[in-house]
Amino acid sequence: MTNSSKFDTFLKQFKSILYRRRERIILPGEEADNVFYIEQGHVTQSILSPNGNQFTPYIFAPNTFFPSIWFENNHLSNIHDHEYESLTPVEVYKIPKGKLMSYFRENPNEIFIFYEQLTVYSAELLKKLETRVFGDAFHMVTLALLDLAKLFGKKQTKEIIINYWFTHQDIANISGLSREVVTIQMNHLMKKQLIGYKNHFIVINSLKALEMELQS
Amino acid sequence: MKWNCNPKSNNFCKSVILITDLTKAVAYYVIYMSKITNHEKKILIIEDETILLELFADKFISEKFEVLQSTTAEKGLKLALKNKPDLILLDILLPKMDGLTMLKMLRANSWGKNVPVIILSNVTDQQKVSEAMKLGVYDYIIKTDLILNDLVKQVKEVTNF
Repeated sequence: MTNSSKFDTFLKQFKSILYRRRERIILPGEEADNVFYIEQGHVTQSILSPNGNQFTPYIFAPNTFFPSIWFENNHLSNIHDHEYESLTPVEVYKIPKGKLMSYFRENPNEIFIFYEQLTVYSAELLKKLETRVFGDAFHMVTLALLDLAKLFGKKQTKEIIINYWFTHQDIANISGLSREVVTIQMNHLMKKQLIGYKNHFIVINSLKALEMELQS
Repeated sequence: MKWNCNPKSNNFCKSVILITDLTKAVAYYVIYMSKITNHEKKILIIEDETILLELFADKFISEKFEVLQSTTAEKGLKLALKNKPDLILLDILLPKMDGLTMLKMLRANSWGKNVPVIILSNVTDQQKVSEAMKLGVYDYIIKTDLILNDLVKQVKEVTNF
């Protein structure tokens, strides 16, 4: 459900679709005829290199659209370049691009629902790019944990609990590293007492300290 | 001949006792560590179709899991809260209390709110799966699409902490 009852009514004409975790929703090379709206769960956008390396520049949260850039534009291709995969089980609405365009044309004020998301998307993308270009494996894992804390974090008295059962393989997929490298970096962070585990969940002992590690 | 060992007066005797104690401590440590590392992961399967329940149970037992089984949500909830398994496989359609109600009750418990749950569903259960997702589930599986080895792999991954 969004903040706009008009948009909720618009959404209801489409049937929601469920995806299991790690299920591919959009594959590179597919025609970009639809826009997806996330009702529940999280979706990753990934770039796959020709030699099989994966890099996840963005994680889409509930109540957002993906792909982020979907407007009909002569400068943009109508073919998807990236892969979109469910990070957790998700429920999405699949909206034909034309229908969404018509909706925003008829309700121009509603475009702010989308505009807000686009601003966050751009800022996050730049931060990811900076870490990817200038950082190492330690920074990539740290950034992935900070992203997960932002999206799934539940604040306790001191620490932040990442409220989903993420494995080292999940973090490897997000950070574009191998599972083995992630395990080494996670152990390193645990030795520094920056993170830990509590009842199946990853715990961030101090968000501030972890953010400082990213800048180091 | 009987050897009288008095550690207060005999340094050699004192050393022998010290070495013996150290050996004992090392042995205890080795036993303790082997218990930790060989700790079997415990899973609970709640499924009313007994053929399916046995199929799951046999597979997970063969994969060295400790398996708790229940054909009802009521018994399953009791087993979960008593035994605190590392993961629960929960069928959504169950007699009397359904899987969704059980999940709600589980999530209301201080231990139960964190345990990973995988929902076992049918193609027609979309609405119920959607509701279950709101309560927090690790994943859901459509029984007709199930590949047992993939499920084992997934369970191993999430319980491997």
